[in-house]
Amino acid sequence: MSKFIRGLIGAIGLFALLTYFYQIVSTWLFHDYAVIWFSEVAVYGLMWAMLVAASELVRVDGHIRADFLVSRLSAAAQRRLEIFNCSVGVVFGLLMLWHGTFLTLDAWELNERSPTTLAFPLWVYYSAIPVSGALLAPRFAIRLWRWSFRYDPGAMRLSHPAEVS
Amino acid sequence: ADYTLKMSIDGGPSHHRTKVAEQWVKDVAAATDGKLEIELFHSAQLFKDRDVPRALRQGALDIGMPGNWVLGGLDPNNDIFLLPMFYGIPIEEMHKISDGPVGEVLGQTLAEKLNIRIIGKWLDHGYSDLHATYPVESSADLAGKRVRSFGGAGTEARIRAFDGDPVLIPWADVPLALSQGNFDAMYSVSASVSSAKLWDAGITYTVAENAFFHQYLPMISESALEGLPEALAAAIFDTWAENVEAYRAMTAAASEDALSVLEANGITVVRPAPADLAASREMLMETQPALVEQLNIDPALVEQAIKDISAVN
Amino acid sequence: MPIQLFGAMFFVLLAIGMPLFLVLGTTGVTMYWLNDTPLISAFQKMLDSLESETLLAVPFFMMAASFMEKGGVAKALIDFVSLGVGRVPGGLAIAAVAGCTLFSAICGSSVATAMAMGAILAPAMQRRGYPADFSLGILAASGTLGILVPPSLSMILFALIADESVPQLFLAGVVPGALQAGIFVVYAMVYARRHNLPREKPKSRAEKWRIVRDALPALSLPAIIGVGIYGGLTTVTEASVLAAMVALVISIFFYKGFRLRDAIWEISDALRAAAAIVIIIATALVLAQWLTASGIPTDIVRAMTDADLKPWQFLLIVNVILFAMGMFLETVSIMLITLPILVPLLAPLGINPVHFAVVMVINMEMALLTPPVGLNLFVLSNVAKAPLSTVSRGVTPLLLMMLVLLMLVTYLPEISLWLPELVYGR
Ligand code: NA
Ligand code: NA
Repeated sequence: MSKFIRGLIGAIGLFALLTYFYQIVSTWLFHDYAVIWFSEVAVYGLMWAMLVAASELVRVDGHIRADFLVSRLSAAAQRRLEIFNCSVGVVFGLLMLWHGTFLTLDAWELNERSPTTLAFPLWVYYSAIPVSGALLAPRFAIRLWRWSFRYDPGAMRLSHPAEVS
Repeated sequence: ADYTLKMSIDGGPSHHRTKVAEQWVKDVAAATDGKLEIELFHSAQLFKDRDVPRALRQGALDIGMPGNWVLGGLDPNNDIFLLPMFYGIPIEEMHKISDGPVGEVLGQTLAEKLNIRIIGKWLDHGYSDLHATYPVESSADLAGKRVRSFGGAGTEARIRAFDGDPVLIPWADVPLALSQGNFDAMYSVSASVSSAKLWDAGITYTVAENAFFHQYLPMISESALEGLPEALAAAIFDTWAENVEAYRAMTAAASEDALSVLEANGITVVRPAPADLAASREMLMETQPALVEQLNIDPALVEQAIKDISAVN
Repeated sequence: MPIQLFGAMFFVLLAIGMPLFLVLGTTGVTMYWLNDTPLISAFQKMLDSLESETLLAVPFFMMAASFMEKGGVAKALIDFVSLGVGRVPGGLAIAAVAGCTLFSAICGSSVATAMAMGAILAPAMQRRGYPADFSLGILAASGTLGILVPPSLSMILFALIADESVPQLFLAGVVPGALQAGIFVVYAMVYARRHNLPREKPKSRAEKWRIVRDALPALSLPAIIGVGIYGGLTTVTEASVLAAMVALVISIFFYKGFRLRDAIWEISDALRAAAAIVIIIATALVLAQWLTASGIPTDIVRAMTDADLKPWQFLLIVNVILFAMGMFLETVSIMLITLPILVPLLAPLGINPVHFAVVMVINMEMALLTPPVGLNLFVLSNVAKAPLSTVSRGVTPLLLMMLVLLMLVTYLPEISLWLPELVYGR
């Protein structure tokens, strides 16, 4: 699942890069074949991909946090706090899923489009919120479970630097 | 105040829409003896115009006044104003459209889709004129130039009709892109060009050719109205109806001022003769039928609009 | 009541090490809920604020930075820059300041500047044995030049709200930007001498030649971006696309740092890293909207107007408020909250808006560096895999110097106004 999501994010990114590049070059060099709405698609595509990537950041513990205080606390205290944090994460993910679903359905029913030449169907972009929530909640749940029942005081510390590359 | 409503608009403190909104807020407060306060948030502090209709529908906002160019995504018929038949048409004629049956249909559709009510006659924003970094007499001088489009298929079609190359650049990027030479000309409301001091960024010529006419639609959410006593709800509509001509005069004065500000800052302002405008319009009208189809505009509405403007036969 | 609750909730969640986007998101959603604003609009606001082409520069520059680092482009560039300043102790640190300043001249975002330069220079400085706090601190602080040296996204936002001329604002940032870079170079030199930082090894003629040859394709990158932007060919976002594309091509085909089929995974990781920043911006704007709607900022300004302040007092108070807000909020939010209510006060006080814009932007630079919420701290902590506290420690002396710069710029308007007045007249 994680590999599929990573691949999907990468593919969207590559597509956005190539099409946006084509837009720039084509408006310089071959006007007749120029497409000026690839940049708009890139906005929707990349923002969608990054909202979805938020769940991957939970998996690799890459979300940014203020570690000034917690890094000085005992392992046991860190564990209790992280269990709380993950529970809030689960709830927030579910809220995103719930409200995001209404948001997306609403845009679908109204047939809302972007006010541009492209008239991009906005529900596609809006689906980033429910999809992101649907992935965030289980990711936080898995983390919650690990910190509750598979706790390893040696390896699991909140002071560990972020693992983002 | 007993009741407070939130209102959101784009545009900075000195913009003519902000001035009108501030005046209306005062008028409402006076008419209701201070019982109803409208908190005005300008500069897109709460919402960009683009996002205002959705905020009204979702109940996050009470009052908005978005420009009709951001409404095409909700109902394509709002893009009717991008059609060539309105090129160079005087403001009194344009009011026959917005205040008449066409405006009625557009407003009704929005009201149903967004669960809002249109507060009254639309506020004028003004005409998009042609602004360029090189000497121009009319849009015919756009041939072979890169021309900034503010978005919408109608705008692009217009630029292509004059053999220009449209480039889509959001307003926020215009000053930088212009000073870097990313484009040579643009259609924009002169008041906006003046407030952004675009002469610093390279604009040297302005043709006041009334290429597109833009208006703002004052709207209030039904749920906000339901929360008000009848008298206060009525005051919202009444104050607008009583003062809208004065408000329109305010924005018209701002547009006229803008042209003199541009001139004072060294920009050559060209004012084409009505006959020239009519000739250009006739040329553009050949592209209209295809454009109506492409923009997905209701042909019956186009028929109605043609009937309403006496200048077009 | 809501403001106290907001404060308490925000600080507690922040202190217990909750991921920042959750802190902002949870606080925001709670405030919406207490205000009887439908929650659906909080998530709508996230989508609305991300629907921005200028924000796209962040993921694209992140892609470029990751290609440059993985593909060996970065190493080639650093070897080249070190040829010039390498023989001075701490030469790489000077190269870092110079590199950030140059990059700022092509990139309008401080976060993107810190990302691109940090990804290249942080590992290099680590390899050369520079103290982590010093090297990350100087990268984070020099990265903030992105919004002071033109082009600048913050200046553009200011111009939009205040109805000012963007080119004039850009010019106003040049001298203060050069001053800041100059101060940082001096600091780097003094620090290097004190801590005996390494010089780069002397190179033989053949080695020098090889370094120059290897650097040529890498050098095409800044050249392409520079020509693109200043030659009037591209916007800043377009430049970020070109940077990513060129970095990808030369990494794969010239430096052979990775293979084409790895590109998707590289991009995926780059987007994930960009997401860590972007989701914070999105949730921060949700919270900022609640704060604006609450009317608290308007009340503060009303109190200031009632106090009948002199211009210098006004500027001092504004600086203090901006510094305090800068600790906890992200820059776009601060500007959106404060500018619409501050700008109308400038003319009555006789303060030149162009001058005020520079004061604002330097405050925003500092906001990027002050804990607990400082995006540039996060960026460097992210790219260098170092604890936030290390970056923050390294930034502290530089932050103090910026405070001095801020006071100079605040009370000597000529520093900002000299160049725009020279070009555009009074
Ligand atoms: Na810059
Ligand atoms: Na900060």
